[in-house]
Amino acid sequence: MSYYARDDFFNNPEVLNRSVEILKGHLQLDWMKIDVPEAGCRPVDPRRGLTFDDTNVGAYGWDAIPEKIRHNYSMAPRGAELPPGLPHLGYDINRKSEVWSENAPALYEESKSRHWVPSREVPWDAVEKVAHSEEFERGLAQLYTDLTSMATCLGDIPSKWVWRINQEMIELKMWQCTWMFDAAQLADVFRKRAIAGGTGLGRDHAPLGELLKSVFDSGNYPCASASANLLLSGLMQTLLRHVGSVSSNEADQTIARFGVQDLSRSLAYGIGHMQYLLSKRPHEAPALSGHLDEVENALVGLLGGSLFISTLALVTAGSRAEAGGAVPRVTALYRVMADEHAARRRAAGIGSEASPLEAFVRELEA
Amino acid sequence: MAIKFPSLEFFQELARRMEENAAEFEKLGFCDTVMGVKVDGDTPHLYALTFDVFDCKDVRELSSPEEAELDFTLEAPLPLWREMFESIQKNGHPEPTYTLNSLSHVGDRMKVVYDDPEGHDKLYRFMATLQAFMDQASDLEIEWA
Repeated sequence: MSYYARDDFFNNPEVLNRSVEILKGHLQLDWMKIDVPEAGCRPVDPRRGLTFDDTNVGAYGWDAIPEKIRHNYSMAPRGAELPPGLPHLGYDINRKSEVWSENAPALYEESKSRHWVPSREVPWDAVEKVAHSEEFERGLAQLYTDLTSMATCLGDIPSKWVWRINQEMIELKMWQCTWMFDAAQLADVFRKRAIAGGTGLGRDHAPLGELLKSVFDSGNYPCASASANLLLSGLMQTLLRHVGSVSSNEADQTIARFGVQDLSRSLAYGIGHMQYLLSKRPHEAPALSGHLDEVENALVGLLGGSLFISTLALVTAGSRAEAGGAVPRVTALYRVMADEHAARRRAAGIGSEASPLEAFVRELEA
Repeated sequence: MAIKFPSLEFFQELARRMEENAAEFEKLGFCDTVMGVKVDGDTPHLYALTFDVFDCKDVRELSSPEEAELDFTLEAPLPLWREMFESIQKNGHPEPTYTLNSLSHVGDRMKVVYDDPEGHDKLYRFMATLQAFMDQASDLEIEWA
């Protein structure tokens, strides 16, 4: 423990005496006289219930958050009265544009609304009756092993930053909590699926570790957000869509259908975050773009790695014997990935003429 | 009574069934997107389906994509749409090769057309709802154009 409260409350007789007086019925109710705005919020659409958007009013709303927060470093919810003497909670991310996206409050509501429960909703008995070969199952298990590591990293990113972000940006922090929960649940279901398939988990490999380290070690939150939300979530979304297209197993179909939903919310936040940040601080675009190019370089290491590309060839072809013939389809998959990633980068305002991913896919196509 | 495909009435019927099966769609969660469906053939047809919360609140036929703010459009020739709906009608849901995901995955069978990547990603953000919407045709008597 490194923080010691400013008073030794336990050994302060005033604390006990005051408590005793109150419990005798001498209530101190001066806290009821506060100067906070009244607001009568109601659900605009009763089907959605009372959403963050419905409470975005006056001093309680996120529109009131200044770009640089200088007035509140406590844990007080935005809009509450702030008496003198509140402790500084140590937040060091106090600039709205560093983290904010206008779609974050709605994505939080959407995440709760579209929540699914893999442990019950995946038809696990279908995994016991896989109609495909053992080598195809081994390939799927390898992909799910990789996806487990990716999802774990995806959840680690917000957990690394959320406690450092000023509490004024409550909706953003709540969104990060659903992002973490969604990622945890994805890691959970990918791991279970690999194990339940009978062949067990696959092998970890250095190129995947290099990519995840490049994402995880991003030096600031905007760089972490760009690499986790735009690149890592985009890669995972493409891989899950691919699993859904190559496996006829109902369990894989379910995991793919619901998993892409969770990942696509991260993509939406990533684009929205970059757009908001660059609307306030356009000079940050080159550094962000350079960082993303560097993470793309690590992605190329993964996509070109023998374990990863041969796994994709095997599951795409359906069998080891036909894997060689699947190379054009794997290349087509990489083309989709590169095109969609480039489109998201451009929409986010950090397009790149020197994209290693684009250059790599072009080489494969040549 | 058979409903013609493609037609405005066909998608209106799916929207009506979506509302009728409210519990299924409420469980899947909010769905807020405007999806285009383009049926290519001798006479191409383009429809705009507006999803709002748990419903498909508006279905319109467009003479050009500019008439609506479409997040994305699924484009396929009539025979492919027919194969997809016939697959749905076999089991109540499509065979794995005929899901929206499989058909559109690399764009070689069904194209996903979009201007804005965030709009494009709404296909995946709301995939379970959009698939369940198409699955409402499972016991619909269809008259093919």
